[in-house]
Amino acid sequence: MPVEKAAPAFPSFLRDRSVVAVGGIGLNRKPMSLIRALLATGIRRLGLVSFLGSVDVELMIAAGVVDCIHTAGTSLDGMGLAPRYRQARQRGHPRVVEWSEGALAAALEAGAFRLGSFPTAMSPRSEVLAVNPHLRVMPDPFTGEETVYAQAIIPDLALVQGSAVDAAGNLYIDGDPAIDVLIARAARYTIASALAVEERDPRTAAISRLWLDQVVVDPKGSWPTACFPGPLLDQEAVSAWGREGGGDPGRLGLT
Amino acid sequence: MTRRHASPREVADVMVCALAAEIGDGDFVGVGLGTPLGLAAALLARATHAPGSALLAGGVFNADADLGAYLGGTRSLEGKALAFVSHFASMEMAERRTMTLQFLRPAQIDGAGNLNTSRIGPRAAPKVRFPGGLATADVVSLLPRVVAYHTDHRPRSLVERVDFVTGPGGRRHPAGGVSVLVTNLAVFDWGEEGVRLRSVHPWVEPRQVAEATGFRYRISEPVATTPCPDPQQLQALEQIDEAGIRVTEMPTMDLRMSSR
Amino acid sequence: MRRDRTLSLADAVALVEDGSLVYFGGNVLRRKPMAFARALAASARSGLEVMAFTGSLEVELLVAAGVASVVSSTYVGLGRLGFAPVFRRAVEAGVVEDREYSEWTMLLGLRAAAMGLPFLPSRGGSGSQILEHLAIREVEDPYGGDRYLAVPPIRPDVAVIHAWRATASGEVQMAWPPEHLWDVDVVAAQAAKTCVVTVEQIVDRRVVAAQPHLTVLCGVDVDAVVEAPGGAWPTASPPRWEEDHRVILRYGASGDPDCLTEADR
Repeated sequence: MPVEKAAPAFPSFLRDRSVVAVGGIGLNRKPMSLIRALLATGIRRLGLVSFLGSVDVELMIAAGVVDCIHTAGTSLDGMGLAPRYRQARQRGHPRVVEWSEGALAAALEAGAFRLGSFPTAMSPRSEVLAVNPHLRVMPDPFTGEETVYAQAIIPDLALVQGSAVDAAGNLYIDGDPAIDVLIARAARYTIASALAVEERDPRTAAISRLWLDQVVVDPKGSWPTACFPGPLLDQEAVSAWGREGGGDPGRLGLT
Repeated sequence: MTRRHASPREVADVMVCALAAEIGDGDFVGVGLGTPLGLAAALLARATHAPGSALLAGGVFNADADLGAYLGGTRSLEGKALAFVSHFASMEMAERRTMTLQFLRPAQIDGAGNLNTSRIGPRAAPKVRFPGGLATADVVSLLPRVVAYHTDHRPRSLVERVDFVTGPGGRRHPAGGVSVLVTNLAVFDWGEEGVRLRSVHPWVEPRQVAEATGFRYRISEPVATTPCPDPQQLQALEQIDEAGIRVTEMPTMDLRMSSR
Repeated sequence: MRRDRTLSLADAVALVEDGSLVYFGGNVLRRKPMAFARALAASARSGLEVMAFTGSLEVELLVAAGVASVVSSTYVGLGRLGFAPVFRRAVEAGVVEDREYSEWTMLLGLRAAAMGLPFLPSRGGSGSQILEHLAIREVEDPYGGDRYLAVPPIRPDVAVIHAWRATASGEVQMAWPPEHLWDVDVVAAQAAKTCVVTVEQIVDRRVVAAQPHLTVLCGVDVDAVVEAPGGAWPTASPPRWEEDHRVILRYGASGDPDCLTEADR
């Protein structure tokens, strides 16, 4: 697997209505450069999976390329609500599918298994069921108890952001790895962005090269989100986005 | 021109080459416990006609190592392997069919391709309880292709009907089940019309195969001869297994399962 | 104050009750909790279901001592030496119940329990006679209508694994490189109602904190930590001990569990 210094090359099967999963968590480790490169392809009407989203979701909504957003939560953390996401929820477009964290992880596990669904530990009485058509209640085959089944998500593309990559292509994440390895396993194709090429102790790799199809190196790949030990959160850029209710996607680096 | 005899090493080499021939450049081969000939075949394929094939054995991915080091487990492969994979992750690779091929070594196999790695005789008090089927039941219905091998081809091993179906043959599940069987005498394959004798090894007469086989199979005349290793393969085998570990799987087969 | 989860071997063995399902970690002749198995074999327990993903000498000891009435496994053997003689004879004589699993049915069952799920689905295993004696059912996918096997949770009463080292509060570390099937030990530990970890050494938390990437279990998943140096003997216990081939060969030839007592060490 090549470790590239250049821009990412997206797989040829990616087209309108493909499903893209984005790693990171909140305002940490969002693969923003990869998202910007994806937007430059002109592919539209995407399904977006962002476990805990922030400016990743905002940028993709603002660019007008998203039809549907799967998330267990999206906000600007301490800097308030995510304006474009909030607007989408209020207007109903792009469509937001609300998940519990556990159910979304189960949907991705089912995707990694290439099965149609996975049972979850979610309560069948949760009202999330009413707003998420990908959660259905059926009895479990043993006790007959009502069980929530999460429909599988198989992302066509997963984008993840790491701290470093080694020459063999293993990705290192300093800090919370969230569910990045799960989306990498579930996806048909995974591209990682790393701040730098570094030879590190391979036992500390967060995502083995087995799950990565391409790695690009970009010391500012996470901007404006944080990626230890590189960029800190660009509070100015994020709070301005929140304050002004979103606005020009150029503020999040889209050219 | 048919030879009457082959040394254990020659038998092992023909078997390993026949197994390796099943591996294509795009294959991802999983090797489990107790199938050293399958491991040798995967290493041979990577060293010769299928350099692009991938190998996961005992949780170790694509190590630059020989058969002995592989059988020594992860501790003898540090610094040589590209990745160590948890068992759950490797089974997940099978479930989603990233893994395309596995070698299995049943105690019994029948004409329907059913595999028995469990027991001979009744379940409550079997005549022989083998150590166990490991992932046999799983992989036959998960992987696109499963190749079986048996080093002691005789009527009690290649039977009309296995005593116990650890892993079912084709048509009983979406994946194909066993597609090829390589023995110390011959190669069989399974297709739409059932099992067929594909080739006999160079020192074997088709009549010997008939006498040693408990199940019925089709023959297309003239019966082909299994290829002998070419010089490149022999050289590669020498590098992969200088110590001749593959030969130790050959002798005095007593239905015993071995493992690493 | 940080919780102290250390127990003596005798106190840890006392956590096992008659009729319990006891899971043993390790892989064939590696990382077997032999000290625990010896103490359990010497106890007055009876009617145990002994479960191991790939079992060997620990199953032999417990079957020979008559404390196991059910053995659940995907494999019980001695690796390249072949059959595990006591287990084989006991099954052939019908004196222990033999529950053979496939790898996926056992691993998914343990994982379902660890995740608190009613089952986990799989495409594997259909048509195998192994499923006849396991409580495997089919489940219909509510979306596509495909039918999968539904593997029910396996929740051992006690799981015992042997690891390199741990803190007194139960942060468990395994050596690098990762041993084959290490993750099965971890899933079983998380699936069990009570988890016992025997270790070569109990270490200060600073030792663990210096290499946190080697930690495989946190104290919250561990009920008892037992310091048992050489506690896997004669099986391997990385990074300290390799298999004691002399003893294992002698056992394979004789099938005499007395070979496995500490006195022969």
